[in-house]
Amino acid sequence: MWDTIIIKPFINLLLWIYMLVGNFGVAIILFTTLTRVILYPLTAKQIKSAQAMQELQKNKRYIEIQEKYKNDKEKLAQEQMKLYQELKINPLSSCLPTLLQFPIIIGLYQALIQSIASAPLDLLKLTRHLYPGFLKISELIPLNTHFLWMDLGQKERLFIPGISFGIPVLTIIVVITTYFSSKIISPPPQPGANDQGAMMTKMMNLYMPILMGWLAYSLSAGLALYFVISNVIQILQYAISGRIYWDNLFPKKNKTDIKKA
Amino acid sequence: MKNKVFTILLTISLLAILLTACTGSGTTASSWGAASFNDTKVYFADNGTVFALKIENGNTVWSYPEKPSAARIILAAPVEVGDQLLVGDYSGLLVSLNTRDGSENWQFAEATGKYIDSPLVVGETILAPNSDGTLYALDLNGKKQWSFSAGHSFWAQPVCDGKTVYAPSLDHNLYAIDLVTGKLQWKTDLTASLVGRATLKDEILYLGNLDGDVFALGAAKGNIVWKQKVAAGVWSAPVFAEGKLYFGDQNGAINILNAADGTIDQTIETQSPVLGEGAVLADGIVFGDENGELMLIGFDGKKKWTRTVDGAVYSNLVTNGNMILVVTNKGTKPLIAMDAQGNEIWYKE
Repeated sequence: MWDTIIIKPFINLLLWIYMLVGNFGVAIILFTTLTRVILYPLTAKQIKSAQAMQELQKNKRYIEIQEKYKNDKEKLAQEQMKLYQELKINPLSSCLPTLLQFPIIIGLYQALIQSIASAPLDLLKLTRHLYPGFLKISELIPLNTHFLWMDLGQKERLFIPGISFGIPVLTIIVVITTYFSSKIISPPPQPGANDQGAMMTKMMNLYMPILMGWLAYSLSAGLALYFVISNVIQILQYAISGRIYWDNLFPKKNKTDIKKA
Repeated sequence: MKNKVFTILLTISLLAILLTACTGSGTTASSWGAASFNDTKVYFADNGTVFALKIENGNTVWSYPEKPSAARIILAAPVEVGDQLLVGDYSGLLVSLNTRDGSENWQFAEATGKYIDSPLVVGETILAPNSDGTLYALDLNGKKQWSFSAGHSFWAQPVCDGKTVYAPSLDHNLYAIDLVTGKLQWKTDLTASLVGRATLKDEILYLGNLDGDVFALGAAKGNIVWKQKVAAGVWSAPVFAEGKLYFGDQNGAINILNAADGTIDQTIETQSPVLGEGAVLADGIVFGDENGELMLIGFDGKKKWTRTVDGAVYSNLVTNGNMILVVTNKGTKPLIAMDAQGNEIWYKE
């Protein structure tokens, strides 16, 4: 079921693009772009819902409820639910698109790694996932997995003469782009909003780049390339929606600070 | 607050584990194990460990490395030469072990790809095919003599007639390389990737490709003597016996071809793909398939017996005439020693 709906179409699409362009790195970039564009309606819905939730935190009644029932969590939940219904806000609608995207992202990873097929069992699986008559195995295998300085089927390291170890360039780019994208798409905390939420966002912004960097460092370069392109497209999509918060990267000093200085 | 921090950390950790598991990389073996043996010991490469086992009961004599690491994958059948055991891994490390106790003699760490299949030893030369697209020739002390680079990976052990090395590559070419100098003698494009070994008999090379084409080539010049099409991809060397070639294919058939002209003598349907090389016994050739079925095909083309094991049989079957070693993939018994009638003698857990 999972294979039929997700993995097979993804693998065939990715390899079909590869057959067109003849370069696996370019195929990954086009494939990632295409899937992110197809998923854009979900992303847009998520952005809109997150914005609605953000604006709710400024709502006078919402702040009152938080204050009034801060010691009675059950009652607080009931009142919040009432308010959601009155304002026609679905709190789940901001995370539902993310949940829907998650299996697709997992499918992307699997399609990528299976397409690279750097060992016999992977190749056996790959040959089974090709639609009969759509792609010809003799033309497809072996894939040319070289892109720039990388072999997309191996861990990425750039070896520079005079340096005895390989530099994980793509890992560094993954960390930077993940940090950038998570930082500039997170709305700044609203005055009066609870500190816990702000702290959790701050932690996510800190840990996600580390996690993605670790994955890029330890997995194949093809996946690291996917992370980078995915991050860049995410930033672009949020920019198109007008939801980029540059101030999160370069916070302006407020007047009080300037005076103190 | 602390609970929420813990939840975030836990979620991120689970995500990392999930992604790593989903990609099938790192700790997951992406091929199948293999075994070899001599008169007293069986050597078994099982994911991260090489075992030396007593041939009579399968008890472990030693294992390598002392502390197995999940990140280190060893799947190619170990090769014994004198008192050395040659073991290649997926990180590009070729190691010589002492056959007595499994201690390391030397390491060769120049390769950047995987050792999918075992090295071939010809006299004083070790020929190690690597997925980095290079065939490495070393002396018995692990010192490089020469290397030969192809357009893509070498997954299969080459064959050699004592002067020339014949190495199939995923780049569709069969390469003939001078054993002493490493210089290319000839190459022939066989139209699809070559993942299995070739068989050399009477100056003719026999091998199949992933597209189901089977070829006979003259070893001197690489000219195609005949070509035959079977139903699906061929993953291992055809077994030559009594003027015929026996080999499985990915669709699930054992094909018997006349070696002289390539005409199909018989096709025996199996229930699942037959990827591994068959093992020649006194009264036939035994093959294993993906469903775990083992079958002995007599030289008359008739099935003599079938046995079923738990797990898939992808690996080449090996035999000394009296004993068959069966390596299973995801089976409850990863290695089974059978007698020539297919009865279990012992198994390795």
